Amino acid sequence: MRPVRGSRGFGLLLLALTAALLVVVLVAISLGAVDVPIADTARVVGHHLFPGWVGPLRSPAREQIIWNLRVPRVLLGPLVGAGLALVGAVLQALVRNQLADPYLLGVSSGASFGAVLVLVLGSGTIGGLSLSGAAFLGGVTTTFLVYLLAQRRGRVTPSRLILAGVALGYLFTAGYGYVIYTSPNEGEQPASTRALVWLLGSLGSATWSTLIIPALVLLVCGAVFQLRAGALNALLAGEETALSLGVNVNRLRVEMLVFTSLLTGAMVAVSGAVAFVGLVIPHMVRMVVGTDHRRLLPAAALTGAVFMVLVDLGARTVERPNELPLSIVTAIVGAPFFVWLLRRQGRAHEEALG
Amino acid sequence: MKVHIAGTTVRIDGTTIVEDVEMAIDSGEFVGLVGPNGSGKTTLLRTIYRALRPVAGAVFVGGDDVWELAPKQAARRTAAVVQETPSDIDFAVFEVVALGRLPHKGLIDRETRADEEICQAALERVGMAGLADRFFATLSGGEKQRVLVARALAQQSSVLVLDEPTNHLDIRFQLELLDLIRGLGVTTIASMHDLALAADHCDRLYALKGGRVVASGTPAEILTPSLIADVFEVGVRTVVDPATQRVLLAFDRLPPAATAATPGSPGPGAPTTGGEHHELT
Repeated sequence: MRPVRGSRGFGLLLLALTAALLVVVLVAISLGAVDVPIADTARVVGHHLFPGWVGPLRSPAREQIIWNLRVPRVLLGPLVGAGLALVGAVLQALVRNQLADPYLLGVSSGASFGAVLVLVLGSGTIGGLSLSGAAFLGGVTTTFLVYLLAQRRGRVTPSRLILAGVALGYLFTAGYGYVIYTSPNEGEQPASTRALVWLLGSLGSATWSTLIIPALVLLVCGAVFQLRAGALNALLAGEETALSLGVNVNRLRVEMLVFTSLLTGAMVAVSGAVAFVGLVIPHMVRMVVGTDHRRLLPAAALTGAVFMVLVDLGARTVERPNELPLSIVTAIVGAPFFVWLLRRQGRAHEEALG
Repeated sequence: MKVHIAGTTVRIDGTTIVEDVEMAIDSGEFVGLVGPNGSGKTTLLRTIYRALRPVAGAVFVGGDDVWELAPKQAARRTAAVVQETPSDIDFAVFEVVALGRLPHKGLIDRETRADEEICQAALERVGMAGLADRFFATLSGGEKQRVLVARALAQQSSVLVLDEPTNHLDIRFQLELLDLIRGLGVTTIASMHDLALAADHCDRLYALKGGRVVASGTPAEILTPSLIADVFEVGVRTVVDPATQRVLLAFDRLPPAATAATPGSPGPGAPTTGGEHHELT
């Protein structure tokens, strides 16, 4: 497939993705354990956005469910999806490897370790940090340790980053595995089950106040990535090429490490470690808009947002009233796609060589 | 634009790779660097496009020390075509060429119609406009090099640095590529493995050995049997092509005794050249 060229086609694509996002958000608000007519959904959202123009719903209880439970949860989806897709795209350029995902550098293991400590041992053990606070701190600390291990005189290379990330990832995985394994297995929902639910990802804890920090972090990091999109193109082409094009390669790498870990940390803190989104979405979008990050990043963010709303909708509705963990749904969609992608690329590569 | 490499020494991890190199290259000149593997050619080129900072001396492009310039400013003066391991994420040809516009862009500048026209013109100049939508990895070696030259053209710099531009190319593509580059009229500094190609296309040659310049001059002055024996440690005979009157080179291995006796073997800290295979036509 050839990437779309020309700014007009690309503008239309972004417009279409934004429209799709609005539609899936409204649909996702309407569907759930109890279905709400889409007209009611539109009215509640409209009333809260433009109170002068749209009147309130007649049933205040239903309005409560929609506005305080459904809406924040459905809005957290696009934030997490966009954030993970952005981080995946940036890290794939940073380490020049298509298998890179937001958790490559151990962020999810570190975050999971922090979260499991709170879930199993209680927040008292780590200075009263909340679940998401501990997850964020665990994730960001891990990236910092990965950087310390990977750098030599302040210079980092992709291979050293990957090795350090994988090593620390295993270490923290062993750490939270041990904490879960030795936790008391009693009660209605033992700590180990709650830890497992968290590890597989869920948007269930969303409230209006949990949206603020991820939204701000996404905004700031997204802007930074967009400003550096041209330099990311050069870096993906190769370190020498980037240097010859006037890119301060080392500063760019450190900058991207800092902002990707902040963004991943913020996302994992509110949703757990959702798999596959950050890996698959950038590849999907690259097939359509090409490798130029100035186009790839906004398109990937919007696609990730739409995808995540649909995934969460699936997780909430497939086994009503039970909820599936997000990573199970993303893997069911993502793994076959990824296998297909690898097979397809293998063929293209053979054709190129033949 | 003139390039002046002034008493430049480069050390990497404590090893001296380039030592006290002095070169003065005039505007529009095509200069070749010749020398065996590990003689410091690539390292020297890296100092020109500001990838490597010398520990002593300086590199002046257009009269300014490149390390006194901002990175993008230096990149607007010097473009480079280097050997790079490809990533498994592929670019389309037009995206590769568009990279050349990066040094002309500030943080918030967007790509304009003018940028697209510059890239298009660059692709046409190297005869690759028809393949703009292809993926870079699917091109042949010769086509890839042309695209990289187009990227350098889109950069609109006055100095072009090339690291082994004809490596892995068929003979026809080697000749075509070098003719193309010659025709650009920009100051060009290229490392060359192939002495016959270097002789045919370069205005002047610098011979490097163990990180030092051992000789410089026109190809006829440099490619003499005694100098080649000294620098490359091979024997050489010259033959005149009856059709073109060009001088052709034929190489032999030197007998072991002669190699050992060759003066000017690698200096202190120079990488070993032992056991290497020199690909010479």
